[in-house]
Amino acid sequence: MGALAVLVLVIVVCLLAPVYAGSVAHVDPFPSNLQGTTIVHGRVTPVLQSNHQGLGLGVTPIGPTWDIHHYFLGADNQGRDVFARLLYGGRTSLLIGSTSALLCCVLAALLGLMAGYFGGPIDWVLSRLFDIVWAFPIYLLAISLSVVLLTSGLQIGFIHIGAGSLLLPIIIIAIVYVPYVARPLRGLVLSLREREFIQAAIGVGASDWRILRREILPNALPSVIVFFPLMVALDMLTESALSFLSIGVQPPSASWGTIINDGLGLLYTRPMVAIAPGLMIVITAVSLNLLGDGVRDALDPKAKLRGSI
Amino acid sequence: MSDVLLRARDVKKDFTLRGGVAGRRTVHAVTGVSLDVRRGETLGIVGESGCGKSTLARCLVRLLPVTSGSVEFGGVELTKLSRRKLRPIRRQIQLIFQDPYASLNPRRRVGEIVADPLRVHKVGDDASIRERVAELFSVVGLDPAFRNRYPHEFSGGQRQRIGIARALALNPSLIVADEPVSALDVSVQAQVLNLMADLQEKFSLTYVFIAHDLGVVRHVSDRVAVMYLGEVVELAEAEQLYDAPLHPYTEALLSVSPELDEGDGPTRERIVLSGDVPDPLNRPEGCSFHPRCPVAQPRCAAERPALVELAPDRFVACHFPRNLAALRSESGRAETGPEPAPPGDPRAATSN
Repeated sequence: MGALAVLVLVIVVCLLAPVYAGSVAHVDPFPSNLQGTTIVHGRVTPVLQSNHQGLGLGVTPIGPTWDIHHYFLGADNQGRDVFARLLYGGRTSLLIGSTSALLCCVLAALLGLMAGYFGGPIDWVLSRLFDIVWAFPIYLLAISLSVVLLTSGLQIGFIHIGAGSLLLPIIIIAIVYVPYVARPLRGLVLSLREREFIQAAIGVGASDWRILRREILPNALPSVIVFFPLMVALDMLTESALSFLSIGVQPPSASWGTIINDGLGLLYTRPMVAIAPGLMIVITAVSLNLLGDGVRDALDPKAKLRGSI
Repeated sequence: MSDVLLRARDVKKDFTLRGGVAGRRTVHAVTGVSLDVRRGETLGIVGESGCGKSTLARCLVRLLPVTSGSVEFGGVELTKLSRRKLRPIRRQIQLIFQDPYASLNPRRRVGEIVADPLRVHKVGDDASIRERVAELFSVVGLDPAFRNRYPHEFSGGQRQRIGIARALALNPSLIVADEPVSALDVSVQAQVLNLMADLQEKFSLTYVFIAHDLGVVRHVSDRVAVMYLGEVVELAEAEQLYDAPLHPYTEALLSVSPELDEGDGPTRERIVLSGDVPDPLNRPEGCSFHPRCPVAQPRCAAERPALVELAPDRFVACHFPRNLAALRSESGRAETGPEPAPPGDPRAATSN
């Protein structure tokens, strides 16, 4: 349950980002703020300070003040409040991670169950499709799709998704991971199909649909649910990577990925800019994984007595 | 014959193995089985592991499509029925499986499992289904309050009772039981067998009872079919078969079965067969039993014997049947000598 508490805390804090930015820190985390000032130890201080060492060229943003009202984690090289951006970025990252993981798991469950249960030509066609997607390196495929879709948007029948929409990275990330979930599910269903209780259902005269829904799905669902948090974490990382390459979340919007990118140039002087979103990703991913294990145990009727985490 | 419920004729089932250096190979799991199951009887099918008895059972209820041959149930040919037309017949034929741990979905409550046949065939509304499930639980000797538990909370014997309750749900006329007690403890075996016998009487059921344990089969069966390597080698009434087996294979099986020596008759001489059941991929020429047969003659290697009726209800597939003297004195009607008569009965039709 500790994992769930941490996760809920992260989500709640991220959802409260506008409250923090508006009422606590009084900052706008999106436009650049090169001339801005803040208050450190009661003194007005510019958020970007000229360098005094070496050649004295360029500017360095202020570091963490550890003052929740004034640039708690310091500023980035645009003079923006890192902590406020961290919260806003978390909203985007969690949104993209969870929705694309959800989409991915639903698609994969549908295709994996069909391939495993029906076998034959259906299995062959679906498996080859998985192979094709799998044959490309994830990032290469995601980048190719992003480059095409982010310039033109996506038009399927009546549905039009604009080029700047968050739906595009969500769909792209969901699709590239479908084989990674669908393949193991297909294998699981293949082995389930040989079990005697499936034979019993066939012997009773149950339809394919009924067998899939009542016999196979309850046995496959725990695997999907264990996959889900893992996929959320993986999708968040993919989103970060795409954002890093400017083909995910578009600036000035923030995600944990874009903030890490912002922090890259400040790694030696202001490491907190990159470390903070990195830590957030780690904390979120670990708690998602622990949560997945907990949910699996909770769903397994044989594990009722096991302690919770 | 109106009293024949299930009639199988020359049923064959091949499996194709793929892969390996040899490429495609065909396993002949069932090679031309013909038998009748009469209404109200228990037909036992015995044989060693791998002799095709489970495959035969699955073919009889069309869980597996047959490669060739025919299976008639109540006069309706099952092998060519579409899935939709098969559904009403599925109500009449139910299965009990060998492994009570694998035959119940671990993620469904047992009440739902037992209700499943009723829901699939849309028998009654929710209230009447609930009532029927409670009734079925009592019939098989389980507390209806257990309905909300999961299968893992039950012992093997209790699980098999749940499997039996599921099989009974639709009031079937035929139950095919594939080694229903071989996964259970001996003490529990007797309970489940007695339950099955009681239910047979109560609901006038017909059983096809598959087992590898001759003692169990003798206890429950009216007639017994002995299978070897995918074919029936002997078929007779249980008492006759156990007293005077005609086929050398049956004789050998009985001689090594420990429980059967306790009768008042002379102790059988133990016949220990050498070697294993041949690989169904490399079936011997002629009689499939001849490489292990203690009384094999050159003819056995050349010619495959057909299943013939030597005396009423005594079928055997052997060129040199045993215990013919007993057969003559017993029925007084065994005109046929060691040379089998030409097949006159359709049940004698055996593949070549």
